[in-house]
Amino acid sequence: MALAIRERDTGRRQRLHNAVTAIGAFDVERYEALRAQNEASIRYPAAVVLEPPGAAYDAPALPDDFCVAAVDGSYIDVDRHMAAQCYLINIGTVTLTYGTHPDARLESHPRLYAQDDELVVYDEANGQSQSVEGSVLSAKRTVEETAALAALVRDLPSGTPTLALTDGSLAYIGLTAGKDPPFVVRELLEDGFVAALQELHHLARSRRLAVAGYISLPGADEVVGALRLAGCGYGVEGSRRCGAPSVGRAPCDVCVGGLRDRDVFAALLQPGQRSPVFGSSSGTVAQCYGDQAVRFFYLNAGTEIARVDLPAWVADDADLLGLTHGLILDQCRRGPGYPIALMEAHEQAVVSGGDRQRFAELVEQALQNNRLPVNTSEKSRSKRLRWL
Amino acid sequence: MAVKGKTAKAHRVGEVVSASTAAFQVHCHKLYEAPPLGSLIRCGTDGSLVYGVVANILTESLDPSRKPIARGADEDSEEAVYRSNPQLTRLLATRFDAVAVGFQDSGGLHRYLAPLPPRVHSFAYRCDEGEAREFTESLEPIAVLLGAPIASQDEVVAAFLRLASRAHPDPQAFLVRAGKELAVQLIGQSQRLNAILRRLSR
Repeated sequence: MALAIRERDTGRRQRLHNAVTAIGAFDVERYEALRAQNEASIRYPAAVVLEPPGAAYDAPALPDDFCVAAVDGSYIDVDRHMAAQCYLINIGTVTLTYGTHPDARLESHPRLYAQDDELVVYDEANGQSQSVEGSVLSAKRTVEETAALAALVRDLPSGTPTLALTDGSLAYIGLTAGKDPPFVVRELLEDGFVAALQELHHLARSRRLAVAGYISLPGADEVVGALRLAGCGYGVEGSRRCGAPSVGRAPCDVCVGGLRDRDVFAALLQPGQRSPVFGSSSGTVAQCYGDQAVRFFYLNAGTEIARVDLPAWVADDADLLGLTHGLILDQCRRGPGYPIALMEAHEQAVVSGGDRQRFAELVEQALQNNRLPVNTSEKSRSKRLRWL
Repeated sequence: MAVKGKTAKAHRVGEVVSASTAAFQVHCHKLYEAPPLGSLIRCGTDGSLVYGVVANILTESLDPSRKPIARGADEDSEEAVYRSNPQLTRLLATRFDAVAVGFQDSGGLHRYLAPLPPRVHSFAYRCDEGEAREFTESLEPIAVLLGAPIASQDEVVAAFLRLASRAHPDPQAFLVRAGKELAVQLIGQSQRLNAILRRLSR
C-alpha cells in the first residue's frame, strides 16, 4: 500500500509540474479556437480562458469605509414520518460595517412552508409537478438566500462600497438544464436565482456593489480541463493520446489529469494573490443565466486556495473586481481563514439537531391546537419512545 | 421613595434574564456597561419595585459553544480590535448578578426580601444618589448582603458601603455608622470584620 501511495504521489507531482509548465506557456487564442471548435464533443469541464492563466494579481488597497453583506441558509427537509408535510428554510443574514462607524447586524429569518402550492413546483402548461424536497429544496434555499442578499443590500446606505457575499457557487445551485425538469429549472433557476442576481445587478447601478460566491476547498477542475485540452487534446476527435490516469495505464508526457484547480493555483499564487478571471464552462450557465454569466478566480486566502464566483458584470469592471478581491481577502484575514461575515451568517442560519426535534414537536402541537389529526409513522414514534 | 421620572432610558442598564427571590441576573443593553460592583439598582415598575446590589459582573460569549479567540495580534489598541471586528459587540454580552436587598410596594420601602422576584425582562435601572441615600438611611441591607449566597461576599459589602457613602452628605460619618453595624453583625469574626473595614477606609 505504501508503495502504491508513493507511486501515486510521484505521479501527482509530475502532473503538477506539467500543469505549471503548461500554464506558463498557455496560448489563449489557440486554446479558445480549439475549445470553440470542439465545444460539443468535449466531455469534461474546460474553463473559458480570457487572459494568460498563469498571471497573479495582488489585492488593491481597501476603501476607508465599506460594508460586507453575507447570507447563508439551512433547511429542515420534508419528512414523510412527520405529522404534516412541510419544510422550513432558515436564512441567516449579516451586515458588517467597517471604518468610521463600525457596526454589525446579525439576523435569522426562519420561514415555514406548508401551503399546497409551496410544497410542489407546478407546470401549469403540462399539468406536471415536482415535490420541493431534497435537491430541489436545496436549490430553493439558494434562491431564498440570494433574494435575501438583494433585500439586505437594498437597505444599506448607497454611498458605502459593499461586497455582497454568498456561500458556495454561483454557477451551480443543484439544478442542471437538460437534466432536471424544464419547469423546475425555469421557476427556481431562471425566475428565482438568476432574477435575484439581476436584482443585485440593478442595485449595483446606483452604488459601488460587488457580488460574489465564496467556495472553500473547491473541488473544481475547469482550469485543469483547459490545460488538458490545450496540452494533450484529450477528448478532441483524433487526439485521444491519454485518458484519466488509472492503474496500469501510462499517462502521456504532458498529462495533468486527476489534478484539481486548487492544486495548480497553490503552486502559482502567493498569499493574498488572485488568479486571472476565467469564464464558467457550465452549460446551465450558458443556457439559463442570460446577462448574469458567471466568471471565477482563485484566491490564496492565506491558509487555503479558495474559488470566488462572480457575475460577469462584476468581473468585467476592474474597480469591482479589485473590490471583490480586496474585501474577500480582508474578510478571510479577519475570519481568520474564512470570511468572517459568512461564518456569522452560517451561525445565524444553522439548524441544530435539537432545533429539528423542537420543530417536529411544534408542528404536532400546532395540529393538536387546531384539533387536526396528528399522524406520525410508527417508526418515528418508536424512535421517540425508545421502550425497553 | 419617589421613583417617578427615574425610569428614563438614561438610567436603564439592562433587563432581568433570570430571577429568584434572593437574587437576579441582568443582561446589560450595552456591552461593558454594567453598573460597578456594589451599586444599588432597581427593577420592576412603580408599585412592585425590587432593589438589588450588583454582586458579580461577567462578559462572555452569548453562545456558550463559541469561545472568543485572540484577535489583536496586529492591532495597535484594544479599541481597534472592536473596530476591526464589529460583530463582537453583538456576540458578546455583559451580565451581572444582583443580590435582592429590598423592595417597595404600596406599604412603602422595605429593606428585606420581596415576596416575589422581579419578572424576567423587567428593566433594570441604576439608582441615583437620592435613592441610594434614602435606601441606606437604614443599614438593614448589610445583614441581607452578609447572608447572601454569593462569591466575594465581603468585597460586595465593602463596595456597596463605599458607593453608598458618596450619596450621603457626610460620607465619613456614614462609614463610621456602617462600621458599627458591621461590628454587630460580625460579632466573633474579628478577622473578617477587619478585612471589610480596611476596604472601607480606602
